[in-house]
Amino acid sequence: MSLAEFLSGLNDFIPPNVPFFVFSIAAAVIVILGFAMPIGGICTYIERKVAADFQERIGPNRVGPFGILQFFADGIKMFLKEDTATKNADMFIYNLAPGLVTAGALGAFAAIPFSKYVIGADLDIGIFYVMALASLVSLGILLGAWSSENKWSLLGGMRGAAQIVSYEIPLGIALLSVVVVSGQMSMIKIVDGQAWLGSGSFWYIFHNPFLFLNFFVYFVAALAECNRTPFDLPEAESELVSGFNTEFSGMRFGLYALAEFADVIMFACVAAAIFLGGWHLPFVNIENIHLGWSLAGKSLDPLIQTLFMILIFLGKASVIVFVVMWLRWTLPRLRVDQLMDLCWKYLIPIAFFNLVGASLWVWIFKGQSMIELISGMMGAG
Amino acid sequence: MSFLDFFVVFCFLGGVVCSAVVALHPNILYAAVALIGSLLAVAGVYASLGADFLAAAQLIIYVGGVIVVILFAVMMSESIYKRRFLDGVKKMFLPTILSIALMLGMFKLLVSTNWGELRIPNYENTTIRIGQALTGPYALIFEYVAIVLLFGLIGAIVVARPNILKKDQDGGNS
Amino acid sequence: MLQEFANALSFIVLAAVLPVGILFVSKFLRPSYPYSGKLATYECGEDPVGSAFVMFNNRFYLVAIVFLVFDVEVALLFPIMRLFREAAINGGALPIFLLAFGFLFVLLVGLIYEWKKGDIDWVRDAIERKQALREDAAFKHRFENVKDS
Repeated sequence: MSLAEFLSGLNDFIPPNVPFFVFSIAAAVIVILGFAMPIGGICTYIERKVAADFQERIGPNRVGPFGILQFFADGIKMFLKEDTATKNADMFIYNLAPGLVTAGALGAFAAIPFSKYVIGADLDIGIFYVMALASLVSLGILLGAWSSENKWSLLGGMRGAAQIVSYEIPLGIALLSVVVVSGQMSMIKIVDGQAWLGSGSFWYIFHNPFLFLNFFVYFVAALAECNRTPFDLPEAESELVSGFNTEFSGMRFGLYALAEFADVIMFACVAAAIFLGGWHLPFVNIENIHLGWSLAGKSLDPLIQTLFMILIFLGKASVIVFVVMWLRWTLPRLRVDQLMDLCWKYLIPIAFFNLVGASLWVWIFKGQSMIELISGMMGAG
Repeated sequence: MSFLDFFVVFCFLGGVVCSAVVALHPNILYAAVALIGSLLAVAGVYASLGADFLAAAQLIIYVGGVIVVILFAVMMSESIYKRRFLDGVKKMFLPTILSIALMLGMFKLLVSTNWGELRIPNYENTTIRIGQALTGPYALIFEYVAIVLLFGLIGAIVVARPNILKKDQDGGNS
Repeated sequence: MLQEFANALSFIVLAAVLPVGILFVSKFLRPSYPYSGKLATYECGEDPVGSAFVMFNNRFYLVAIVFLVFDVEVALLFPIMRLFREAAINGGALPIFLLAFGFLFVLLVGLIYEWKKGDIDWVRDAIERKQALREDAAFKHRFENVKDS
């Protein structure tokens, strides 16, 4: 059930005869403008604080208590910065490129299952849709680098496009292995397949060792897709000035930075949903929480359950985002030929091997996970 | 006219406009960018017919793959991206004649076909039906597609390989 | 199901219109005092040398072509893998397994061919270069005590 349907089901709180597309647009506005963009902004602040922690300094602490309003200040500054497009820049493509990147990164939030009732669009092809929109980002980077008539931007952009495009393959194969094990492509059904039903079905990362390895393949490929260290050669701060976004200033640069963070959050949410069990906790069935509170005659239980589900899901996603930030300040940058070797000579064979292994496991053990097998053996013996 | 009708008409019109830009614009980079628009329009038409898998596959393969290859090829050499195409009436003469002939042929085909009656598309289980088709009646074609892809892969690589003539010719560094 | 497509469309439309709106608003808010120094291309403070065209390298194009073929393969494998689990539980998984991994194996052969021929190396003839360096008179002395690796 998608968020739009959920909103239209709140019949007591809305005036009648509101056409359905209003709920559709309201759902999109809530998820993109209410979650993706503010959290993307806050992540820039959190990253600076985390970086400061790792480097034993304080980080931003002037604007607002503990510097929390820093990202507001940054946003306002970006709106007010002058546009320094080069004389020969191709203005149409120069303006189009950040739009493509943002459309790809933010549009993919439609298929992310925050809870059972809070998903933008409960598509039958959920995972495939996420992969489709993530492939628009490479176009935006390439076109943006080309249109700013700058050698360093062009080099950074071409490297960036080659990197993003290469790492889509291990990403796709890791997603394929999850589809093999779960038999579904719809995100809500994949998450529901990891529910703790007392019979041992647990998170897919612990389903079989091949999926465990593919989680790390997915993680590395997602890092490379978002241009994060150790794969941030396209924005190489020490090499290419600023890579593909050298000539972008003000809000255009802000859109690139926002899209990069939104990409990180999106991949972390997808990892939390398909590998780490989404909103399910190990020994608890959320649907059993009945507090009995009610408001205006209707029970508040579904709302409280949804709130718990969202909190658990976001908790898992934030752990992954924290690890991504941790890696940025820990690992050195990979050289471009090491990067390409890593993708084509290591990740793709490993991912294929795990795909074959996972399908053999599903075939031989009839789709049971390791935990089910062990508890089956202990129960029988 | 429901929203679906509006959407389909919008996709078709957008596709036609973008294709016109692809065919007629003198700057090849703008033509490649307009190709993105026309491929997105095709994806929209697929989605409105209920073929969600095909629409997403169109986005992944065409917009995310073929356009990247085309853009890399266009950016490869100055003689490609600085050229002006179709500048001048004389160069447009033969393409116009051929296009009008093709359009008349397609109109004749449209008018003389018996289209049958309107059916509502089946929106359920598209992916499962594609999977059953690919492993059922079309299994041999599926494997044949694998071999064709292999030929394309090796052929394109062999053609595009740089020629290492001398040991000190590096071919640039990036 | 069509309703879900419409939901996804509203997400995509909002995500595409948002940057347009942001850039439009920003256009009115920002100052604009251009002069030729500001508009020049940035090259670490020097005057720009030459056109903005770099000598393109074939490796980008080769990587893009190999990516395209494998992208088609991954996209075609999705519907088949969707069927696999039910077929494994209810029987009849052998033809699906053979078909899918036959497809995969054929393209894997292509990948191995390119690997061996050095087409997916970023620096194309790294091994030959090292060999040539070892044989070069000026550098021979540096490899004298090094074991062959």
